[in-house]
Amino acid sequence: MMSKFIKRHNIIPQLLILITIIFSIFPLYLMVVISLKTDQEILKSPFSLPHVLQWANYINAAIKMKIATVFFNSVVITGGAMVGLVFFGSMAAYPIARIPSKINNLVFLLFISGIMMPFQSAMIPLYKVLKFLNVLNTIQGIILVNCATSMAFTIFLYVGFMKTISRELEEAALIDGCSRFMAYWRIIFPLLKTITATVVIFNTMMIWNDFLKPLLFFSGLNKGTMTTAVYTFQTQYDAQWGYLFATCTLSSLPLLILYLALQKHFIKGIAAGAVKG
Amino acid sequence: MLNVKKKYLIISIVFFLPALLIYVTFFLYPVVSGIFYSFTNWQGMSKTIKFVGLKNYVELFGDRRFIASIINTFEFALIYTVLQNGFGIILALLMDMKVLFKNVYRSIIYMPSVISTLVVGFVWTYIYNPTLGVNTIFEAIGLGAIAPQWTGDIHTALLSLIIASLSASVGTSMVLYLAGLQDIPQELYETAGIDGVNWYQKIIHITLPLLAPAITIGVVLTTIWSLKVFEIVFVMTQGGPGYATETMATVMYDYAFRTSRFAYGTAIGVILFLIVLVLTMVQLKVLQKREVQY
Repeated sequence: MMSKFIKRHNIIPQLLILITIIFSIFPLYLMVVISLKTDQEILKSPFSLPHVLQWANYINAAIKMKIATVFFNSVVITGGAMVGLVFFGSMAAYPIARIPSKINNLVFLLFISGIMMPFQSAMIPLYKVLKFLNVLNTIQGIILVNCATSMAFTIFLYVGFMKTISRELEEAALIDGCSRFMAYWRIIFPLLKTITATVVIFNTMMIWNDFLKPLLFFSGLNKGTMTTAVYTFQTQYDAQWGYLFATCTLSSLPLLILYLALQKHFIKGIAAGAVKG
Repeated sequence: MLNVKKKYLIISIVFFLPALLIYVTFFLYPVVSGIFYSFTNWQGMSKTIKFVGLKNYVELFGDRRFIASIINTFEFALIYTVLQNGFGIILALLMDMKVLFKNVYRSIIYMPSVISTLVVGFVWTYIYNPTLGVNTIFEAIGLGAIAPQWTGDIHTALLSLIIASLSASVGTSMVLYLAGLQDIPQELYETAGIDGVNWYQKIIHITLPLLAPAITIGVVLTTIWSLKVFEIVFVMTQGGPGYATETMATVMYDYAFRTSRFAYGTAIGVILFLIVLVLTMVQLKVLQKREVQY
């Protein structure tokens, strides 16, 4: 009787999934709960829900992390890199996917070899390059660095996708007298919507959450991002847990909201990017 | 005919030039010049750079801290890659069964993947905190004496970091393998059903072999990612206690940006790159052999 019940309702899988859910969600729960407590309450009952919501933690955190400035920086950096990746990345993928030649093959190889190069192998000489070009600790500089480090995987995704698009449309456009350049923007680029969504979602997560690059190449007064601000806040004020987790929550909130709104695209994007790319 | 070829060449260059310029200037050139710098005595402030041959490399292999970091990096990468992909596959298989609220579960398990490693690190610092975190539960149920010291103990520190990383990333692998499972033709299972094959045999003989392309991608990408592990260590343990959680990336950061030994740091960068390159190649060779066509 019992074993039949267990089997019919897939109890064991349900149970295992439940454990994973707790493991995944518990840190998030803790972050939000602690961010709304006073220090005394944290000491007394570290895991329970707060008695009185301490919104003051958030006000304090928002002011000290200069939320308006770092939010603006994060948006500009992520947005700027995204424009570069989508436009230049998809453009570069076009001849690689469509025009077979030795040079194009070589360029493709050059790009995708970057997937295997850890950023750390570039970071020290990159410091020198940025200094030489006078873009160290500037917003242009950090946008270009993010663009460059994400370019390899972006082109890899675009090339894979473009090979699946039929050529007929584009050839028709060429017969109509469109130049290649026009034909690309008018015919090919609109067909890339699905993969562009993947590219944008994947890279937004990478760049928004990135810590090491802005820590090294985008610091100083009014610099920093939503992610580095959490670290700066912690090292500068040796913050109490309530404040620290308020900054953590604030810094995670934009992507969490985006995720909850666009869940399907996130999940589809990550899966498609990893499997079919 | 030659004209057409030339025209195509010009078109190609116009299209890939902007991306190539950015990529080469801000990524490829730094990596390649790093190889050159690793044979010099380049220091933070000094203007002159002298060629010193293999000196940095020789010194590295006598550097206890660096050796410890290589061992830790491999240990982290191996355990993390196995667990991340193992749990990912198991979760995907479970979710693929008739489970209630499947989409809700999937959304929740994937949720921490959109949060930065830095934040995940801070939260787990709290969880491992001896007076606030999970050990208070151990004490409450009378098991305080056997509560692990987590990141405070050289024997458990690295594993504690792996657990913290997994909590935020296992959803990514699950989503990847769930998508892989959707690509397996349903007819194959139906035929197997007629032949009286049980669930376990189906998994071993149909699902896993056909999941091989997804496994190849999953394992290779997790390995590359885990070999350059930095943030979780930087936030939670700074390489300690002792050198117990020091990784190649953290040692490199420290030498370059705390003590200005740029050339010495780039030598570590070159070694890290070679390790990633060789491991990726070997994995691709081995794993792709397992992939079957259907």
